[in-house]
Amino acid sequence: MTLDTNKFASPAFTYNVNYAAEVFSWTDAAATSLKSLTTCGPLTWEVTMADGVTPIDSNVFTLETTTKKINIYSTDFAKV
Amino acid sequence: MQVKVKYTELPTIHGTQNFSIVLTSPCLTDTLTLDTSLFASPALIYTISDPASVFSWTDAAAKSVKSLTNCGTLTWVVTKEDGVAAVDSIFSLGDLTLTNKSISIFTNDILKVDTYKMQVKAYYTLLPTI
Repeated sequence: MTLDTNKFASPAFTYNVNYAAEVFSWTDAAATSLKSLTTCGPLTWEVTMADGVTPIDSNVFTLETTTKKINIYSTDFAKV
Repeated sequence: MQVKVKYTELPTIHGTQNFSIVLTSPCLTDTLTLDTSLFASPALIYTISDPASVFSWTDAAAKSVKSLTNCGTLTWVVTKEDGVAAVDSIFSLGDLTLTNKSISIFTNDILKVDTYKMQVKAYYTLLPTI
């Protein structure tokens, strides 16, 4: 499977600290089967730090993989 | 960050992609300017032995150059002109965390006749360098 590099870009999203919470979201359409298969069942999504293991900072990001979104909110300017 | 997707029933079939979410703040490059018509020289003239006089202001006396409103609360500091020493004892600083900040002035000591140069500083509480 390949992932949409336009959606999952660097940066994919910019958030201003101390502003209202924002949401980065996506759908299953962001994943493409190399064989264009559509009968392989549902997809499971995971988001971690770049090492693929460390959880993302829960003080800033609230991950909802079922609904495929990351809520972003912080008042901590040290998080810039 | 890294996003990984896999078939729920075939977890060995997966794809991964690194991406990033940037946390930034326009506040970091903001500048606060103070109302020079309020914080003037002189800002107030007090006559010795008169009843206490009060010089007051609010956060509106500090303006964000970028017109930002999401940079948090302001902290106010009043010192002598050097920015360090405490103001003379004839001045009594009110609670500068309140909406209405104030300096009250009172003395019966004729020897206190002078021009007292002071410094007022306002900064974002969460960003003391701004």
